[in-house]
Amino acid sequence: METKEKEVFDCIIVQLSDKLKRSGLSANDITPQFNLTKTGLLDSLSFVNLVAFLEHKYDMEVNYEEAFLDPDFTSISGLTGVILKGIK
Amino acid sequence: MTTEKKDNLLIHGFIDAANKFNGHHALDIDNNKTTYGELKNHIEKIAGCIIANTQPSASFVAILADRSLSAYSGVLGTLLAGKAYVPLNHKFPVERSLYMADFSSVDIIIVGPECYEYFFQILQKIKKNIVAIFPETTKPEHIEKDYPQHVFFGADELNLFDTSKIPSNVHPDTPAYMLFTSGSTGIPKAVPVSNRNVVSYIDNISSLYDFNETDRFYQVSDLTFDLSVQDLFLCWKSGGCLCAPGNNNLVAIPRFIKEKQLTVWLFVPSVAILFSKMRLLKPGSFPSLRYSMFCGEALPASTAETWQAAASYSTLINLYGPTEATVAIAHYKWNKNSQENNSINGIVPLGKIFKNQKYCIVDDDLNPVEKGTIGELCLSGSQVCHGYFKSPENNEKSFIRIASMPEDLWYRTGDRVMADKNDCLYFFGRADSELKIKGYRVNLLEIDHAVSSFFKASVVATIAIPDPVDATNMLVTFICSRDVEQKKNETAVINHCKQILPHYMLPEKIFFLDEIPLNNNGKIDRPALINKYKTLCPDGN
Repeated sequence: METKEKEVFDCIIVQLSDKLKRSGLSANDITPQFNLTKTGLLDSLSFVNLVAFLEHKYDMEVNYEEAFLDPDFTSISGLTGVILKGIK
Repeated sequence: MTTEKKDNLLIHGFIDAANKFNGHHALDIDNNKTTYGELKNHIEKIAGCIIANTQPSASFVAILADRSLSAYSGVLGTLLAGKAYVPLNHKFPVERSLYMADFSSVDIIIVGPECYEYFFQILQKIKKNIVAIFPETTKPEHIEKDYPQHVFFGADELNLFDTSKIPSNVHPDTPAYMLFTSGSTGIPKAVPVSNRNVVSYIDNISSLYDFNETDRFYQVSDLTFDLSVQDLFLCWKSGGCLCAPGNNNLVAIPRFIKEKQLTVWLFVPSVAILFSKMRLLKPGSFPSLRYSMFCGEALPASTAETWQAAASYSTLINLYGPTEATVAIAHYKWNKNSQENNSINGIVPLGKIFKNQKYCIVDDDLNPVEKGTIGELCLSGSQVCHGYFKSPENNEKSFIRIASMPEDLWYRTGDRVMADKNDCLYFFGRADSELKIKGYRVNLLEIDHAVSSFFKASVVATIAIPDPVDATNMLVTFICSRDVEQKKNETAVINHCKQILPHYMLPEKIFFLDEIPLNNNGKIDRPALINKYKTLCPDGN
């Protein structure tokens, strides 16, 4: 993973720490392929709240209509990709 | 047709439309279209199969299907057979579905392919012998060998059956469907809604607004949620097309509205808030919508305004009503100017009660209050059901007589409202431990009950923390425990609750306290817990 990618990934994990703990998961269980909504970890609103947090932190805006065309958007790697694209 | 007066049963709306608009599309499910004529043929076979495989006295048929041909044809086939449908939900814990099936004594379950996996979990646990109908596929392989005690019919076997007649013993007071809502004792309450109740509702809403055969209705509410009743039956009475997305992801909805050129939308306000956060409610986004209806939760005026700008050609209607009064019993036509005049606390009014329905606002002693005074809303009329199924103790609490109007039976909504001089109703919160989460009614005591059943002796109290931005509620559960080992058990508590409660009832946060604050009456002091939460999580997270 590139440095920036790792940073976004870690940032997502920190944001999710409460929910992961609740589901009996630890950060080590989470791979980049982990899907945040399909696994039931987040519902739609919590997912959008997470995206809003990242948008604010990295000063960018996600185009949801475009982003959701990719079914992988709700995975950690998919989300990270969309955020990185927005920063560049 | 029966000897009953025409249109007295819920199924008649569909049959009339099918006779009139035989070649029109009744369904568009993920681009698979079915005409009224085709659907009618299909449901006649399903109804025939139901009639041939149940006692005439059996009341209910379970539907385990989610926005599929099986779901819609199962519902219609059940009604054509003169039975009432009991929707099950594959997103709920299996135990809850088993309880619902057992409580309503169903012998027949109609299963959609999207729920086969869940159905096998039911088959492993269900005690009685059942008949299962698979309306759109052949039977799953080996199912008869693996479960010889049950009887199964695949779509290919339905040709053996046929009926176009509703059994003659079906009366308008016969239930059309039965839904379960959260109960304070930890056991869900079953609301049987009669054909008369729901036909009254559909007639009321369709006489107020002009729906027709060119309308395209959006359908995504679960069958276990009564907004789906309007989606299905208002559409089919109007001769319109019911459009269900294949992708159940909420965020795909805005694109779906545009692609399908939907004209009628009914959903919970929290979804509009979500879209707003996603910047999907740009002005002029949904030009096809003629009617935008919100129901199930308080509608913030700000949300109504944003939605109205996005669906600029649509009439925006706030609907209000508990399941016991059949989908909705009051309506408020919103516009920007009336918002300035009428919203209280930023919440759109509930509006006026439909015709032939009655309301009465009472104080704690059940005496009617004057207009302009806040009290508990009670409802009566042809839309209001007469009691919970097999639950005399709940009926005594919720279905009451009011001394000054002894001829009517009144349903106590538990909603605190005020009426102005024009009989327009305004919402002021709940009178009891119930609230709405994502449009679902949740009784906090049911959550306490589920958590207590894990800890046995511990004191448990769940509170709802309102989010001022989202107008949503977050569930926070406090558990009284000095046991250090227990305190590490948060994950186990949640896993336990997942076996009992639907997903929307699971606590978001759990705190272990040495002591739960009590008020002067010795009851759990919930306002003190809300303050406690604020000290534990000062930033609201």
